[in-house]
Amino acid sequence: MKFTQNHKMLGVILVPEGNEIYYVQLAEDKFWLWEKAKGIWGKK
Amino acid sequence: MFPWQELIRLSVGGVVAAFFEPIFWMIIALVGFQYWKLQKSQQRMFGVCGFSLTQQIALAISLGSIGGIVGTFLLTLVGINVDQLGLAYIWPVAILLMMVNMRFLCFAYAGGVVALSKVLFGWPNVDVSQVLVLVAVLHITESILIAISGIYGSMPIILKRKNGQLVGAFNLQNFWPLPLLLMSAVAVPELKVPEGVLDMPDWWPLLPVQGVLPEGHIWMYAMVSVVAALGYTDIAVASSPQMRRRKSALHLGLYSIVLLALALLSVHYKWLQAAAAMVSFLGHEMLIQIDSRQELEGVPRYVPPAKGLMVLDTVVDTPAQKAGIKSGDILLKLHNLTIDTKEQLAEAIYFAPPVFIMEILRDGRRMEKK
Repeated sequence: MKFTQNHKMLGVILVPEGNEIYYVQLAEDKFWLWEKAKGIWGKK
Repeated sequence: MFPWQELIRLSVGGVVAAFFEPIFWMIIALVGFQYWKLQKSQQRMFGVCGFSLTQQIALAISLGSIGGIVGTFLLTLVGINVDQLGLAYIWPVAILLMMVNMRFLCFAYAGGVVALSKVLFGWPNVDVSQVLVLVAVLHITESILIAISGIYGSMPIILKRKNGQLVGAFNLQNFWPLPLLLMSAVAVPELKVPEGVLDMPDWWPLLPVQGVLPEGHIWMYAMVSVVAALGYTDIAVASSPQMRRRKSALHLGLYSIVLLALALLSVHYKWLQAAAAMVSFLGHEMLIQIDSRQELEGVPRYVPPAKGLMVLDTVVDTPAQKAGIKSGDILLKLHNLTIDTKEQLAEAIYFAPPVFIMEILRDGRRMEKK
């Protein structure tokens, strides 16, 4: 597999873990953001 | 002999002709708006879109055209007559029902209610069998479209179950424009039948025209272009989007065939009309309720595994998608680093070189993505 040139983005959306509250907040925007640098979901 | 070839040519021609109707493009705009709303919602949730809007609309037009050919073929085969469908009654009822719940916009409910009203109260003036055949054929068409839509129209979501558990799931939504040709019967003097008219066998139509035929006249059918839209909304929690679609298509197909058989039999056995009308809306509602319950209360598919991280979905045009990582895959190792948590994944990505190997688990089988 190969990362894109500018940033290490993998491009996967992972299933939620347990009852983490932040996943409920997903629909409300801005709580969890796509971290292009890491290529995963990360807390803002 | 039945003119099969002409009928197929007619169905295809009808769909092509619809492309020149302004109403067709109005329906496309409506379908496009629905996809745009979905895309915005996905962008808001995940910061990324799935298919591009143009791709989605182009696919909706292509699949809708296939649906239009199938629908026109079946409606012509049974000999439906647009004048006896009572669309002027069905539409307002559908809009009223939609105010209770969006899914009641489906003709299975409005068509069933109008047909039952005709059986019980003798009003409105519609042909019960024809209305129910229309509902059945529209659902046969829908079941085919659901089955051939694949992953298109599947949006990943995070769902909170009744027990408070958060799981991954998919919101399945499709909209298709449906260009159809419907027939309208007119009585013409037997001696004035124009040339080029298709000669139909004696058994046709299966749905006879209601009305008195003046002496020396025969029924002739003119084709009328109608553009409809079909929509499908579902949720996949215990199944993958593809499995869910296959199951929905199968159940909807069975429902449609039972309804079609009852509607056609009710032409000769009037006592079946009430039962067929009730099957139209109660059968449809039962199907939705049972299927949704099984899906929502079943064992969720997208939950964290004992080892590794499960992928709910991949983003279009990213290394994961290009390498063939699929929804449901479990990421085990990235460049030989074990990944059991998001933090470990972030770390592995941080230390990984530009080209790397990912070890995954798919359907219980370990494999490497290079």
